[in-house]
Amino acid sequence: MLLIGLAMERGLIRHFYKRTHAEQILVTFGLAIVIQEIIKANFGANPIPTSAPDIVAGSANIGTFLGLGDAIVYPWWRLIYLTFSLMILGGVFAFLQFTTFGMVVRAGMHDRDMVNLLGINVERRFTIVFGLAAVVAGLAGVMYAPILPPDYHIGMDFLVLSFVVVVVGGMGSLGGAVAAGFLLGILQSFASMNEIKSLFPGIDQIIIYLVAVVILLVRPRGLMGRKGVMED
Amino acid sequence: MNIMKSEIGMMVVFTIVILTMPLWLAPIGAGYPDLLQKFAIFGLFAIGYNILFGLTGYLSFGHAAFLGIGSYAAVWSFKLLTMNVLPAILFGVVCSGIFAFCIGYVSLRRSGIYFSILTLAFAQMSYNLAYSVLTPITNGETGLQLTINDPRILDAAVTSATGLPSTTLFGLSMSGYSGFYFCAVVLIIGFFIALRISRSPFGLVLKGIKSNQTRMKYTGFNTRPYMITAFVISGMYAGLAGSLMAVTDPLAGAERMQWTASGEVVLMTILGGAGTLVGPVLGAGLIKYFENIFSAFNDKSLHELFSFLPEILENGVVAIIRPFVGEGWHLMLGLLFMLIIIFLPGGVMKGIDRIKTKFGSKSEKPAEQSE
Amino acid sequence: MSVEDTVLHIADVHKSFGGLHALSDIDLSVQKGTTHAIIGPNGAGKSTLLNVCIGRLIPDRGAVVFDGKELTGKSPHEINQAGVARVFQTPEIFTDLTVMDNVIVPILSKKDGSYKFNPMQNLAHRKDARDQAMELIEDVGLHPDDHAGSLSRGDKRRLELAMCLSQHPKLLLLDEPTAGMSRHDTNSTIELLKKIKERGMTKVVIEHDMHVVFSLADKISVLAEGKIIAEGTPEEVKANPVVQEAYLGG
Repeated sequence: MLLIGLAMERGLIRHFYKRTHAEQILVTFGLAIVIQEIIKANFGANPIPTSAPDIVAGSANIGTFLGLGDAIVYPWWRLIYLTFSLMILGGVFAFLQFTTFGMVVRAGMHDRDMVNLLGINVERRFTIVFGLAAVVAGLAGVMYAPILPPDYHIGMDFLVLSFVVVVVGGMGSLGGAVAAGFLLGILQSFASMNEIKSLFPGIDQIIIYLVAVVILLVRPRGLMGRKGVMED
Repeated sequence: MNIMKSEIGMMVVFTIVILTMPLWLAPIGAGYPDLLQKFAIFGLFAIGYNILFGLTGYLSFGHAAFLGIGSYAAVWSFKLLTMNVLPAILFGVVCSGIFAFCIGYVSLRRSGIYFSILTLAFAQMSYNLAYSVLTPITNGETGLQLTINDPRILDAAVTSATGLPSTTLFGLSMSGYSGFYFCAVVLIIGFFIALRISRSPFGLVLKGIKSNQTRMKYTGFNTRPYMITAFVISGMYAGLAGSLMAVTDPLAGAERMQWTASGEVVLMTILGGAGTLVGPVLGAGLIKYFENIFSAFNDKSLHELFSFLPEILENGVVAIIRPFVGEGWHLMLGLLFMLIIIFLPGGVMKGIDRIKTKFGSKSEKPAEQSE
Repeated sequence: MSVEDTVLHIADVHKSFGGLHALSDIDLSVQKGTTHAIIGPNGAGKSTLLNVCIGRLIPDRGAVVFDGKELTGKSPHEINQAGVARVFQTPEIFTDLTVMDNVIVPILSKKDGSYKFNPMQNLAHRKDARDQAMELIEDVGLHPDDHAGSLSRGDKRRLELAMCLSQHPKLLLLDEPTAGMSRHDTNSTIELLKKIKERGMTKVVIEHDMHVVFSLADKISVLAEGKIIAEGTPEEVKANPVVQEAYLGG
């Protein structure tokens, strides 16, 4: 993943930092189609069921553990996933917030040319960040496989979702993205409950978009977006 | 006066080229009505898309939603009112216009990447709605189709048809060539409107928004209503294209709203040349033509095609080409997408311009030297 | 100095960014038909003041009154429609369009208002706009069919000036109109600005170049650290010891 991400950035994406937003989106979009089709050609068009390693199969009876009877039962794998993603989250946050590397990246986001003038190789760091993003996304995919059997167009479904999450959270704000992710995820789960579904049929399919629209109408920059980040 | 002349001239040439398509496309195997209809319909879709993307520079990734809405609206018109196509396309355009206004009103609060993602999210939402939630209206996965029992209140008095009726224009059946000519006429009208828009004060303001939004604001323009208008117009074009799809083949499915369809129209517009008048039509034609050719290939036809080569070479060539054709057409499309944006961001029309100026400057240079 | 003659009145405007007081208690009146120069060292708050006037920034306190109407809190296009045009420090022009179209756009805004839906009208038939644009383009010495993006820096500034003039604004704000220009270009710009003055247009000019300031301004306000430290005719300001210390004499 790291290698693919790095190669993508070096070979293609970096030539587009100076181009318009439209072209940036389009070239990555084209690349997404290509990768998706390559996956389809190699692995077929059907989902591939994957099970979690045996050692973590089964469920944890959290209810008993917390002394609440056996009302709450949760698959081990999902608990591991939760812990794991919280760890990754912490790692990325610390990396961007507390290292000089992260500081340079954040500064470069605001004014790439200025940071370049200070004699720092922003390009190299952006390459690494792109690679890291690919790694994190790849990990998420690996961990999610036992929950949802992967098929070739899984990427596009999640791409749209994650874009929505980032936009709702506020461009350039990790905290915002996490908050938005939790907010939308929890809402989605609520909407999937049978009681709610019988009130508003199909609400689970569109709740995320509805909430996203409302939030953007009220707070055009997203939950924690700041002025001047990724704006024209 | 000169401009007025060239406007008429342009329309005449365009009209002739479009109407004679069956003749001059026949030698390259594209002279049959099915494909020609597709050219016209997607040409229209791309023209409309170009009014938004080409003039204002706002990249919408959700235009397929309007295409789908147009289709559904048209089929419902066939089901409830009449098999006549005029009410159907009118209904399709109006419905997609209303949706475009709602979606545009929200999406246009932001620009750049935000705008693109918002439109994409809306399109996905529409797709989900059509695919499952609104099954009573859209008939979900199966797609909306005509049935014999549809009320068709306006037709009932006139006919008591047995079997499924077909779409008509006051009695003229809309299948085959008559279908194509109907689409072609609509395309020509659509092209004319787009031509006028791009040469109007309104169009100039849109170009100004693309070029420098800051200056527009400090020059006294309220850019937001301009953007919403442009968005609605291009949404209506998409709805028109969608209803024409239903005219030529009266069924509507959710797959028309998928993001791939949105991506396709972006590609058509860019391939032809965003911001040019003829470019989008050209791009639509090229894409649909090559889609038609490439997706038709299978192992057998490929082997036949390269049978003049020695067998080892033949197998090699086929093995290389195979992933890109047939079901692999989308791979080809994706590659094409990237290549165009990397090497020819202005599209084919800009490429032609560039070649022209190159040759032009070459022929001018000797003249300069002789002076 | 009667009140009726005041075109722009900046009343007790205060603006701070975080802890920095960019503008404090600015009180400034611009008389009709005059050229009012605002000078001051870098970071004195000149551009901030201009941005408050055109609605790019909203002041924390105070009001901007133009032509008897309050502008504070209005959006940029409303302020422009009220009759305020601005020349930016780095030219804001339409680089994708021709010089002709660049000038026609502001004329359309003046004639048709902030929004008009006229998609079927042929621009080539808008003789009113074209003639007016042509005249202005000739005034500033440009060619109508040139591509605005390929103009020299000086020409871009001249084009922007022509765009602003085309609207016949009641008030023209100029942010360093001659910055980066050669002496020759500077002089021709001064001539152009003098010509506008004869037409009775009110101007507020921010400028570093004292040659420009003293050959144009009727009145000068000196800004330092967000406050007006002196105000008067060019002669008075030149003679003012406070100004000499803070700015001129150094």
